[in-house]
Amino acid sequence: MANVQAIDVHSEPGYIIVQRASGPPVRYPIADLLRGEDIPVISETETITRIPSVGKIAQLISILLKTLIEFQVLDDEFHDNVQLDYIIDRLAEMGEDW
Amino acid sequence: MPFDANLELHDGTTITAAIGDITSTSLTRTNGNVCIDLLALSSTPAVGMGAVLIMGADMVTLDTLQVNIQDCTTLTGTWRTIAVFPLLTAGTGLPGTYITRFTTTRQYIRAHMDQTDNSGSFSVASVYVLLAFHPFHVL
Repeated sequence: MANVQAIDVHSEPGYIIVQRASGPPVRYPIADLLRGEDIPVISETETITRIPSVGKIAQLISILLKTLIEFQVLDDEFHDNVQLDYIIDRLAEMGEDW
Repeated sequence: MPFDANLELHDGTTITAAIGDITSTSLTRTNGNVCIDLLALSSTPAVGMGAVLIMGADMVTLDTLQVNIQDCTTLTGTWRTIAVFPLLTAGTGLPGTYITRFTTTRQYIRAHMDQTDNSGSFSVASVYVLLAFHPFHVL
């Protein structure tokens, strides 16, 4: 309907409604019009520290590891075979202070 | 657009599996479909009106589409079927044009479109459902 003049445009939740000079108003769903750029992306460097549940998971992992080390479930072999520093760095990125 | 928008129950918008069965209860067109208020026309004449179904494209194999004309006294009341088009299946009479006639003294009519997605990728384009007083004069 490219050549029928639009005489009114308004919106309701989820839709844009166009009223043309002839015919009933037409409802276009907004979800179909979103660009990829408009949809927020969770970036690892910024947003991830602001998500509370991610921070809580990091805390739990840190507590679990420290407890297992304290009870010697994870022994020196664990320190040798696993890069503990790497784990500590990743947890720090998630907002956890080892 | 070749047809009068005020007489289009369905305006050619592609019907997909994501849209599902179309049962409009609004005077605002959504997914190409809309209810028409016959009040301005004072219901149909005694000889009735024609409903023209134009299927501009074939369907996906195994899928079916059932288009019925329904009427109701209110937009959200109980709709009743007053005209039935043949069941449309891929390769059978498609693309094609079907005409039926109906009469009603109720205020609202719509094209109820019931799809059966057997292929898993239901999609049919260029479906028009039109109202016409004298379809046989036009076609």
